[in-house]
Amino acid sequence: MLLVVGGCIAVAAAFGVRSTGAAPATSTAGAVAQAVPTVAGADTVSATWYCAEGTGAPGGRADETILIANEGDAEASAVVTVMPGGQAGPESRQVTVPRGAQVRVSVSSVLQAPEQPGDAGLIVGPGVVVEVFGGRSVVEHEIEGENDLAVGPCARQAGTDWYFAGGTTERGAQENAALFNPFPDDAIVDLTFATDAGFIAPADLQSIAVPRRSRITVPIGNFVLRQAQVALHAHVRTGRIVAERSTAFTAENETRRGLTLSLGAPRPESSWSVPGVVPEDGALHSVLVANFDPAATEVEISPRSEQQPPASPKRVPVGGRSVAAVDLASLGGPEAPFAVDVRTTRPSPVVVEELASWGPPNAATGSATSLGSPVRARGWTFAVGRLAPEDVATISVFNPGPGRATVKLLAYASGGGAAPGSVGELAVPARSQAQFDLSDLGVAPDQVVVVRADAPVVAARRILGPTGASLALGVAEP
Amino acid sequence: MASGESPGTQALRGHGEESGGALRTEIPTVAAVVVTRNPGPRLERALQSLGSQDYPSVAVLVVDAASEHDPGERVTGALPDAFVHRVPQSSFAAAANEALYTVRNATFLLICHDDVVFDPGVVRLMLEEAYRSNAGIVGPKIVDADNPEVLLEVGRSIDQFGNPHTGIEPGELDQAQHDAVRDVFYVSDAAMFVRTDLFHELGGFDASLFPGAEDIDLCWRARLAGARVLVAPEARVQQPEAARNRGDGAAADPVAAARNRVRTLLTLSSARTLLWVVPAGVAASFVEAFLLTITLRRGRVRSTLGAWWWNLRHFREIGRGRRRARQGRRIDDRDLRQLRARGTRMRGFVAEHVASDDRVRSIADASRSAVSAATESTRQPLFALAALLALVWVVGSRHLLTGGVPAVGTFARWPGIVDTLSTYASGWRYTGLGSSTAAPPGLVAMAGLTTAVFGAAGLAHTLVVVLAFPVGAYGAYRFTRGITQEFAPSAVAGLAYALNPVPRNAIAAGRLGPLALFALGPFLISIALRRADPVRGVQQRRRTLTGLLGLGALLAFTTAWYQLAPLLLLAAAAAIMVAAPLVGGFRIGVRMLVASAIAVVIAAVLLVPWSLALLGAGDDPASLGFSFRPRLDLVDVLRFHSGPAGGGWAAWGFVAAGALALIVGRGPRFAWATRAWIMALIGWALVWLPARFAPDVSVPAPEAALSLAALGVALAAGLGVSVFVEDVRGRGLGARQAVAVLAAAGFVLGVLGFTADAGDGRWGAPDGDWPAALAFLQTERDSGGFRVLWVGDPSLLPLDPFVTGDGTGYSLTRNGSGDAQELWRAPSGRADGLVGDAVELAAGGRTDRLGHLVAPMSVRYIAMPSRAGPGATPQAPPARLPGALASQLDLARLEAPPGLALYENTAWIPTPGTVRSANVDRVPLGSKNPTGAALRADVGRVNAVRGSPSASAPTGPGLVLWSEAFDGDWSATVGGKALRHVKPFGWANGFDARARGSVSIDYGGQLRRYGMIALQAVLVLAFLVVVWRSSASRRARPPRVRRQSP
Repeated sequence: MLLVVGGCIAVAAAFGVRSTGAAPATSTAGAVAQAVPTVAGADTVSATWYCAEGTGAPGGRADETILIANEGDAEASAVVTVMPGGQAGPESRQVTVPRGAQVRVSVSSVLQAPEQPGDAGLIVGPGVVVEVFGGRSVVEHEIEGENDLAVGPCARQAGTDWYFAGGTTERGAQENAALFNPFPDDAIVDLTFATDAGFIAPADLQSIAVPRRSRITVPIGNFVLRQAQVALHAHVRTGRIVAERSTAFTAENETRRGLTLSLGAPRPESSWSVPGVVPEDGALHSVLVANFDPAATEVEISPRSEQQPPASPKRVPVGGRSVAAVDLASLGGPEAPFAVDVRTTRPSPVVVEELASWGPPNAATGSATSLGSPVRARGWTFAVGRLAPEDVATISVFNPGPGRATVKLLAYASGGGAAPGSVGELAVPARSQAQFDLSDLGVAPDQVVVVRADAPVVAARRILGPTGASLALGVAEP
Repeated sequence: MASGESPGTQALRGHGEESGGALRTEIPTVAAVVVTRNPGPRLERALQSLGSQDYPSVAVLVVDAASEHDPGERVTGALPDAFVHRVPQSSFAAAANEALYTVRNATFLLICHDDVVFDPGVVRLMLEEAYRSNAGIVGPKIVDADNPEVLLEVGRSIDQFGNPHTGIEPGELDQAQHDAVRDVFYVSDAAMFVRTDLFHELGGFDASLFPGAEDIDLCWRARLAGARVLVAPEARVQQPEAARNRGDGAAADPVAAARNRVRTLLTLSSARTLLWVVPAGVAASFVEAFLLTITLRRGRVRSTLGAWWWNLRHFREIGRGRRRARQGRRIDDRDLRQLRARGTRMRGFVAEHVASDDRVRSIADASRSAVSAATESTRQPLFALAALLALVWVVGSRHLLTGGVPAVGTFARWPGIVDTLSTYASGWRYTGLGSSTAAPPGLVAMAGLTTAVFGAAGLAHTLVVVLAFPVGAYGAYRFTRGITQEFAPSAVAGLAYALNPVPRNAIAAGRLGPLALFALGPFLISIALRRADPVRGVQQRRRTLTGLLGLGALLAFTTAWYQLAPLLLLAAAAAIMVAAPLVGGFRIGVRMLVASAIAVVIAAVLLVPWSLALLGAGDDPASLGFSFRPRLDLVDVLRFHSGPAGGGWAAWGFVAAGALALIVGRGPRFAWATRAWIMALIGWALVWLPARFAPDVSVPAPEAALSLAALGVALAAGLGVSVFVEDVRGRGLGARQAVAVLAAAGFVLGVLGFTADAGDGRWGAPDGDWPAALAFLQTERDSGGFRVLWVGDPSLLPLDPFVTGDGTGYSLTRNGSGDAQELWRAPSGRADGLVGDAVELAAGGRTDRLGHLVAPMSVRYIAMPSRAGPGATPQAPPARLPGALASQLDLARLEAPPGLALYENTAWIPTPGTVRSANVDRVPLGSKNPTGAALRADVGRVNAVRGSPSASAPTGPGLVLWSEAFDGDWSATVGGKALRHVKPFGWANGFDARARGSVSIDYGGQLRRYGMIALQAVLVLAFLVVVWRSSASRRARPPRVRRQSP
């Protein structure tokens, strides 16, 4: 008896037996959901998507169209609510999304909501909330302007911090940050910038009130003048918001034309993957690495290509609260598509974004940005593969893992269907990239496209066509 | 000397009357009846003072109540004309009643003690006053014979509980400040002037009420018969103060006196008065007993508590007395109210109950005996230590005592008596989303305790919390005493138990049930263990039966506070059995287990129908208290560190102290130490094993099982004292002595830990509570009925939370932050589960419309605490919850104190609320998927129905939503016309109001509830009858068979 009691106490005292009842570690699925938009789970009763950037009146600077895809087992209904801000109240429209189908809803068809000047040089415009009742939905939005268009996923959740690595306020670039507060209480936001000229925190952009159920647009060029690289950090003091950024390159710009759209990153990370870099004539690809930490850091940028032997990584120093731009043309061989792996070698994490533009002699003209992906997943979904039949569209799949991955490209039938059919399959070696050409595979613009792999990968979509250019990550299926 | 040879036939003569002459005076005759027994030296003076009265017609009858020596010669020597009558009865009252048979032709009787000295005009003055005021009974002013300037009595009163009260301060000087003739409740029989015919009509004194209440009873009955009772202060008598409250020379028996006072109270009070006097008196006696205990006057505890218990057991005799009293009653109790000592609540309690006459003297005595107490304390260090720790306990509880208990966890604020009882009697339980299950009997216990402190619910609440320490300590003392039969080990065990961190942590976390278990658990185990004695003979069987019934009753009471109490009892019995292979005693364990099982059955019967409702709670273990997932490692568990207390090394001290008996003990001491340690190990294991191996399973609050461990450790520590005395002391210096020193040091360490925790004055409880911080919610009711949904860690939530599959807790309060009416919630129904589904969906990121999901439940506010209360230690809420709530599209975050995230639901639907006719079609009716229905429903603006649901302000037309779980017994009428009853959202109640009007919403199951209450009352009465019969049949019980002393 004495031994039993003494033993228990001795063990407890000497070795400090601890329970394993601590909170479970964040699952991979949870980590993915925290980093990038994800397909709503099958057991989700209502999934909400937030589309911050865009305008809701014909002829606007970024006319917005919502694309809703349904990967679920049954027909889903979706409510598209346009929150115009100001005194006007929200308007909603309910649409039915057949199983496996894609539905397009023009924002202006729900509510004519032109942008209006707001306080302190800010602009009030429409934000869009899409609630899909039922699981496995994907929502993207398309904005159109400046003879270009951009398509990308809407956000699945709001947050208190949003980071953008790309952006410029150089001549001919109209940089806008869309801050969308879909909640019933006001949000207070601070905007700060890391530029190649140093850290900037404009007084006018501190404590910006984003009223409940409204969106404001910040014309960054009015506050940060003529900076080639402008990385943005939106910090929410009170409440939560969704932040997106668009850049319109006008004719005044010397090197680029078109319109870009990026969803922010919720936090800096130490590792990023940027798939889908295709060196070609008339194309400019660069990676922007933003360090929001006061301490300087350094990143290794490694091109990953199936067709080329591994190149040694390029080390790039990034100063504290600054941005480094790296021209990717120097990393890959000519005509050889590749992905880029970016890893920090010091503790300070970074945000990585790709900026690309196309012009003569390339057939397409336009610009596009896409945030890198800090996570990997076995599935990626695109509400739309191509925007028009004449587009050149590719899905690039980067396998950053140590083993080979078999990747299938699936597509639902036009107008929907019970299950997606396989339209292509690739074996992607370790740390390599491969891509599907949707034109070659006959994927129509109204088909929902799904990438499935037997190992975690990163998938991105590139669209080049007469209407413009777009780069975007897919919506992850954790 | 005359001799009363033939009582009843002999007439007394006045001494002014000529012995053989025919001339008789026309003035009324006064017969002085001096009752004596073993008279003291003042007898002669007393008789002479009667002989020297200036009233001419006074006859003196000395009734000797069986003195050892015949006082006849002394009487003759002092007053030759006095008659002496010797009776065999030794009681003052019985002897005084001889006047009924002996005295003839006397108009008045002056009944007096044998040590009372009368001033010369006393008889005349009292007689004159009797005629002037038409009084039945007149009393004189009584001063101290040794110091005639000191007042002793100018008439008397009693308080609500029958305790005498003179209104005279001890040592108060007579400065004529009370010299006015006035009605009094009674006069003492030290000198009582009573009309002879009235004395005959009343049948004299009730001899069975001597000592202590025969004079109260006589005067009270005289009052009820319509006679006046006066005091005539001009009439002055002297009596030695030391001889007060005696009438026959015998020392006063405080136990009998207290018993007789209560009996008088129960006999003569009206039935309506008894309804509140009995529970209040019983409770007040407990409080007084506690005060007496901590003031080291333990001898009076028995009289205080025993008085009520004895009388409740003899209610048949009291019933007969009440029937007699009823026949003679001519006035109502209310007419006597102004004659009784009055006051309000605590002031009245202190001034009239605690500070009634003899108590005031006791307090004075206490100060006078301070020196002797101090002297005694040096002789008895344990008393000194107990006194010191009691002081520390008071200091440590000072903020709770002065500011009340914060409404944390299940320490919800106690409502008033009426509200509590109304909740108990209600056919519909307003917990969660409502239920038709029976209300918990804990509400009755709560109302009873509140009644005991005159409606001061906050005080009752505070006392329940704070008194858990001493009550638990006394229980542990009793438990150990039953084993060791020795004082010192028992006292040490009691102290070790009270000083354990368990009650402090329970207070810090606001866990009422485990705290009640801590206080009452030792009594339960003690009684159960006593019932484990082998039974031989009829008498012992009856005694065992009575004991089992008592155990069942106590278990029922404990279970009313904490549903899992029976498990503690069974676990203790299991500990005895587990220890059997090591030290024997398997049969004891089996018998204890059987006794416990029987007690559980008895408790279940007594708690019907609530106990039946608990049986149906299998799908909702959280309603039984299985709602915690404590993250405790073995070290924490072993040192009872389930909260802020016990965090240091101090709690190891008691563990070390308990080791002595195990290491050094021999024979029975070792056996019981082993059982104690097994008990402790089981208690620890019940906490640690789930935390270690099943962290995702909800278990009871750790303090519950740790109470068992604390009791085991305390018993072991107490046994250590016995071991020290028997097995260590007197032996040569060696390892035993070293272990003993370590054990003693451990005990001191535990004491230091307790003392250190006393610093904050609230035992780690928060210095505020959420109801106070969210006081504005009280005014929001004006906008319509609503609920508050509390979500987060179940250990931080108010009341008894529900628990979802992932361990997230939630609870619902109505129209504010909730109070104790919502404690002991009903088991989760289907509707309640919908709230859990909504919380799970939101927490899992599977909806951003939590507000819509809970809007039909009238949830207006959602609160997520990350602390038990303002200022408490922060704890992380469930990982995904904060982000999930912040992501909801229909929740607006409000300003709230640190530690609380508060959201307002923008989709809230008030209850009752009216959906406009135009929107009625948008309300989903009878949906099979309530969650989906609520998610997509857009019923437009819902107007709050003002006023009481049973008689609202005009509303409609439209659909009146009533956000209680659907039940066919709900109905609504407008202008007396019944409305169609529908099931909106698939779970709620809706009434189709076609026209505008005042809506009356009623629950039709109320009669059923009354029936169940009646059933419960019948069961309790039947139980009392069984107890009464059982105890009556074992009156002549044999001496108790004591357990072998270790």
